[in-house]
Amino acid sequence: MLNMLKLDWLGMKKYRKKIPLALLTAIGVAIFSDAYVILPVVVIGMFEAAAYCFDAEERGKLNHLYLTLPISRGMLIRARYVMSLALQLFGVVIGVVLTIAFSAILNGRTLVFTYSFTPTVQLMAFLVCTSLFYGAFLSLTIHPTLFWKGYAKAKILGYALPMYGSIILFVVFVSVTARVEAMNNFMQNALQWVFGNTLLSSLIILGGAALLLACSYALSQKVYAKREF
Amino acid sequence: MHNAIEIKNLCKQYPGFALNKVSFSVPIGMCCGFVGPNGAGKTTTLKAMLGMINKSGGEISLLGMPEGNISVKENIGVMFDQPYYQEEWNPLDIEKGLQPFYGRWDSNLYRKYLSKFGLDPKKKFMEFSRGMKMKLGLAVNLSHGAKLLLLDEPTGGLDPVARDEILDILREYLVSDERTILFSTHITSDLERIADMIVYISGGAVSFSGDKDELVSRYCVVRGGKLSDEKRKHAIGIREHTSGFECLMEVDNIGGLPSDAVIERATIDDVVVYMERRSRNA
Repeated sequence: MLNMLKLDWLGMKKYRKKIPLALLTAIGVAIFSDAYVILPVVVIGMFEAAAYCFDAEERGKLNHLYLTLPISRGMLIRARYVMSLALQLFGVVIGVVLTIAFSAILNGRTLVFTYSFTPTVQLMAFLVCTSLFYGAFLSLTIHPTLFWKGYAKAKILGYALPMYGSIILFVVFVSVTARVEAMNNFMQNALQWVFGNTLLSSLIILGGAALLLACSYALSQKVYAKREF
Repeated sequence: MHNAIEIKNLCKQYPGFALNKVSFSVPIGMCCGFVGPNGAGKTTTLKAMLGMINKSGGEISLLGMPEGNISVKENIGVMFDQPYYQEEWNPLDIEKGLQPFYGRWDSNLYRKYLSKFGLDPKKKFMEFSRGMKMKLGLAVNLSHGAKLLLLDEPTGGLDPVARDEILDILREYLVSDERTILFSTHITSDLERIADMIVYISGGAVSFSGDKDELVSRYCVVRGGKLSDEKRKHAIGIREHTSGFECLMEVDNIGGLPSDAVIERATIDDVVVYMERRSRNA
């Protein structure tokens, strides 16, 4: 699998320079909003970067090369998931460092407003887990679509739709919750519980992420076994 | 193991096209031309051999191993109408990426081929001409010690000089008795030069599989003024025009032709063209 990982990384040769863009985007967003957004933005940026190997494969018709190599289709899938996870974990490390650094630099005040975010260990763990959960959610929608339809189609079907769809749904949900008292109370209590039990809720979220990732992997295996080139 | 390739009753269904019980075998050490018109099923057969498509039925064995055996691919070199590498890669990147997959990769041999073919190791793949790309693909396949080369239209779109160079490389490859080539093409003049045997596929079915000389010596091209009804039954892909006719005919059937008939030795191209005309007229 290591060989396939290396080959994929080599295939991303011209895309790799885009990776620092994810960091710059996160820092830019943090300066205007809040330091805690750095981590999820970097992790999702890294998730996106990992998908470049699908783009490279499609543009160069590299599947014609990969499928002639002495590796199974399953191995290729495993390598792609490991690449995605490895880049996300790299994003976690960079994101944590940047979040702590920018919390100190911004010192509770961004260009737009003041805030009270302090990067405690519990909060950082919670941020890491929720970021990975969102990565796993995107993996569930995009990876099987990438293996099924290729990059060009998957980036709309599996990526843009779920990502922007989930953001819109989240905004709608927050708006509705703010207006409906019962829901508002429920959410207040839920959030209170989550932040009162940060470690436990982080573990639950991480478990959910692992489950989504397992489903994503199983689906990818299924669709890629049937794909013809 | 006697055959490098054994295909039995290979079937693949597509809407509007099907591979219909394709069967043929290629003994080790042979260069087999895989010929047929566009859409006959050549690429589909090759893709089925490589597991790039899922077959509907049949058996495929390469170098004595059943399909699905991944390790056999270490001994197989594949080239489609062009090699597929990332456009930013240079030949050194290609070696870096592919070498770990092949236990018998010979770096010295690779460098030797790069130098022999005049390929700059630091030039990007996208900057190479089509002919150079094909040579690079061959350098890769020859450097990992492939015992079987599967080539799909490798000379298509190349100028005569580049084609000649590619054929020379393939001829050199075949000097060793344990090496085999399956060469899909519709430039049959290439096969006249290097093929030992021919598999002719048409409409998804194999029409002929055997020795090249047997194929061309079995048929001849007949031209003349008028053909009797009796002889017309034996004419393959007959074309009639104001001054007479031309057709392909089995050598065994040429007795009794009119005295003005001209009989010429058939080429592989003639066999393919007339056979196709017959199947279209049928």
